[in-house]
Amino acid sequence: MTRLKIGDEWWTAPAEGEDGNLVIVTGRSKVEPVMESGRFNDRVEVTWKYTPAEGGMPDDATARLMEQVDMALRGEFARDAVAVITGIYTGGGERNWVFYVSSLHSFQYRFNHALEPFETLPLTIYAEHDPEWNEYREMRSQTEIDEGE
Amino acid sequence: MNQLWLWIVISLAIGIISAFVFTSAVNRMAEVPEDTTDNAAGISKLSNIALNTVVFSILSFLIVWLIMAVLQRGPYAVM
Repeated sequence: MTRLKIGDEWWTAPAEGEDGNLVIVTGRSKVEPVMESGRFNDRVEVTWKYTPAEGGMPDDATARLMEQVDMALRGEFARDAVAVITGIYTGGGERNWVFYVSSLHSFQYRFNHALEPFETLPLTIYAEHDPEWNEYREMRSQTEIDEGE
Repeated sequence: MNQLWLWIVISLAIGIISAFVFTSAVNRMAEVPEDTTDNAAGISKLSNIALNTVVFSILSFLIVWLIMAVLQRGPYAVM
């Protein structure tokens, strides 16, 4: 089996949420090999709702914990091709991680494994079949800033 | 590798090994000669092994599935 080359380059851009709040979008670039492999057909959205501080962002303590969780998830899913994190949205009282997944069963196992060191977090996980990567394409078209700009 | 295929391969391997062990143990207990030249007996032995392979493979698959389900329990579940 050939290994997929997954880029680890990210862009960050401000956007406006549905309720007009500021949302910081962090998107992953150079994921075309994964997208075109046809294996990552399910989209999983992990949502962490928090009490928003000023501007809809998390307070310092929550932000630090989120950063640790973020690192744990990136570390877990960097090792093999079960899931790829493609976007992270923060703002309006919630943080969302968007994954494209090749196996929901394996993803669930790996996700629980990654978050074992933490107390149980207020996370909800939603999955949807999205073989065309519509969410990712929409995020990219609306928020990606070309390096040349 | 997709985990389902991995489980199927593991289950088949366990099923084949178990079927051979089980069939030869049963034959030994029933005092059926291992090295038979009788065609019908040979075919019957083969079909026994095939049947046992299917049965043991299904059983192994279910057991592996159950073990994995227990191992994969955690506070977070995909809805």
